[in-house]
Amino acid sequence: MAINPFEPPRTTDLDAEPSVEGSGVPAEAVRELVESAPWVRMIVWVTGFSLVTSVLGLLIALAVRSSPTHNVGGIVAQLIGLVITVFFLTLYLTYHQHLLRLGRGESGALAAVIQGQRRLFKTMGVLVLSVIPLVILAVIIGAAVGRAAKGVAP
Amino acid sequence: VSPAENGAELPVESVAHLASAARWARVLAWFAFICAGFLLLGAAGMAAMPSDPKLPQGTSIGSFVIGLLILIPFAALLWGYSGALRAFAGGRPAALVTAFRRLRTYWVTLAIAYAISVVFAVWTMIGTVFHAIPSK
Repeated sequence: MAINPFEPPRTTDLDAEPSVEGSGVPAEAVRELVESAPWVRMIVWVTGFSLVTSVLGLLIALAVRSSPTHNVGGIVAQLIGLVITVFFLTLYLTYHQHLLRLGRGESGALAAVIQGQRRLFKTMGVLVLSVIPLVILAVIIGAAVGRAAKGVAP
Repeated sequence: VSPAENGAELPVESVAHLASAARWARVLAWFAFICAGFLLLGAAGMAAMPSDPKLPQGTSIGSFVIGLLILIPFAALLWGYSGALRAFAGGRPAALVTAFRRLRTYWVTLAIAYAISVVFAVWTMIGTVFHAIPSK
């Protein structure tokens, strides 16, 4: 194959090895996805472990305290956390299964992996955007309560 | 490497999904950078008046620094992933490799950070439970 002396130099970062069949998805890109599967599996295990310990923590908190209504706010927050953890566990699990399918060479797996990526980042983004107003609200309420308490104190 | 996917053209739907993933990753990166900025302000505040009685108990400059050390790599990786996907959308198919490589690094970082935080949380929970059980 003749070398073109006028061809621009390749960048080390953004240019990859060309794919086998032309201008499609580079083989290296698919390899990167497949190689990330063990780490996503680890995230699934850690999330599962975190879920189990959170449930145990909630049960212990309910058992140790004399009245279940002792700290209702904390328990509600823990329950919300559990629901979010379960939701993310299913997302990670599904994404991991798509990665395994991609590794086995099943057709359509790449599209499913990409869709899984979008779903994960979108869920995280929506969660973050919905948490921001709640945090601002909590800060405002906290400041107002603090000011009221200062006014009442002698 | 999957022989079925190697060299395959991406469907239009998948390209749209990648563009959406890039947008949301950019949102998350901005959020992480803003949080890092607040932590930096907190660390600076702590350095200026370390013995302020108004500060919550247990607050130290170290906690701000740990927060920064966790947040900044995540923000940088998400930003890089999003940027590479934008380059891919701009007509550089090879940028997909960079995007997925950064995503793999993101998963590695997340897995390690998450494992450490869960171990720490369990340790704290055990301590709390032992503390809460009244001694006979």
